Amino acid sequence: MRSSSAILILTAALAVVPIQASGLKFTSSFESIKVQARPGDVVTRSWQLHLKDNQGARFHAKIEDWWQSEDGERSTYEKPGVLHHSCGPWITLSPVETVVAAGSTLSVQITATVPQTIAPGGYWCVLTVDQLPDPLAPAQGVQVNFLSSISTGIFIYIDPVVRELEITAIDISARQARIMVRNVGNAPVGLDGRIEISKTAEGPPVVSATFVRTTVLTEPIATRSFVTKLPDLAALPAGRYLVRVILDLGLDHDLGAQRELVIPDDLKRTAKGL
Amino acid sequence: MRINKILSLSVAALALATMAGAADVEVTLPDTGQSSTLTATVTEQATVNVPAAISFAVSDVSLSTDASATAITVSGIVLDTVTKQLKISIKAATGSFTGSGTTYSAGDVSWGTSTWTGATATPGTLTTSFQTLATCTAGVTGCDTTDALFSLAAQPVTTSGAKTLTLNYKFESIGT
Repeated sequence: MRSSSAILILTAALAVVPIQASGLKFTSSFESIKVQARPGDVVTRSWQLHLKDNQGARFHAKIEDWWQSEDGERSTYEKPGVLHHSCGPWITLSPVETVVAAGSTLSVQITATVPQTIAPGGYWCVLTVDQLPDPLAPAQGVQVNFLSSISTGIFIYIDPVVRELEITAIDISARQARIMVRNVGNAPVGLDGRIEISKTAEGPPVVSATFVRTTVLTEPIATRSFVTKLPDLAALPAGRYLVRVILDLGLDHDLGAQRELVIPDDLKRTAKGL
Repeated sequence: MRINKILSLSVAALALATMAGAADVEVTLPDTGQSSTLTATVTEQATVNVPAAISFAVSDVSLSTDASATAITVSGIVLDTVTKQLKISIKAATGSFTGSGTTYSAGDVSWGTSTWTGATATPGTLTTSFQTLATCTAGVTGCDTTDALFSLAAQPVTTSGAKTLTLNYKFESIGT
């Protein structure tokens, strides 16, 4: 009786201890939480992750500040409150740490309490949910253990919100276009964009390409460059062309800029870095 | 009350008869059909499958060692727009592997331009800050690799046995 109780306890313990013998498979929400709020508002949202297969795991949820390098290649995560426009100090999470059984769903409740006195504009932070290591996992040889981490954006907007960008540069080389923009508003701006190269202002584009969706923050880096590949422009007939960049910021109007492009002269200058 | 209603009906019937006799007039009648709107709200999501660990079978510390094949799969990608991307970054949780004596540092782990499907790989060297491993192509429903090509540099380690390092995978598609 005593030994069967011990086996039962051991079995129960193993059932709740996460096991990392195999990899982790999960479906997670990647939806940024976007909230229009007023000073003093309390807003609650939830975020979910569902574990698949027969693998359980332990998770820890936290709020971080987040920004990207100017080219968008590198993300930086810091403790909440580093940025002036961080919403991190407003957020509470529940649960913070929990074990999720195989096949179960982790649901994290996110509560934002907007301060009574706050300047208008866009505030942001991220929810990061980290898989925690299994302290009982055996170490074998030289190995790297993998742990997953998922980050989701939280954007809180306090009116009046000013979404405003400036296009500061359009660089064209033979096979790519690079655009530089600056956020001159008071909130992060998400943008879709495209570039069109035409022979005349009224004529149809002879080359067009789209940019991937980009978010331009207001700090610590308010500028953002983004690149799209182009077909070989050197193959176009020599002459003067018009380059148009059209950016959709989700407003009732698009933002545009245009410049002249002389082929092949301007492409040669770009190649030489002039 | 009843008289009023009959009277109203009679007047209405008379008015219709008079109009029909005068000319054909097109009238727009309100749609009396019943309908229900079905709305499916799909959140941005993806299914991720990563291994628990990779091993380096180091038989000669004076040579670099490739890891066992590391498969990473992201499927069922649903994002806000077809121009949005999901990015996979990695960082070391600590600056060096566990183990006594001279051991490996995080910077001894590197990865190459592995053959990803539906993504662009970015080669790099492990640090304690997130570095991009791969960026799924905008508009794809999945991206994967059968081997992320991790490699461990040669190091004059002085003790044998278990040496482990924890590596954090970051999956993000943050934006507004």
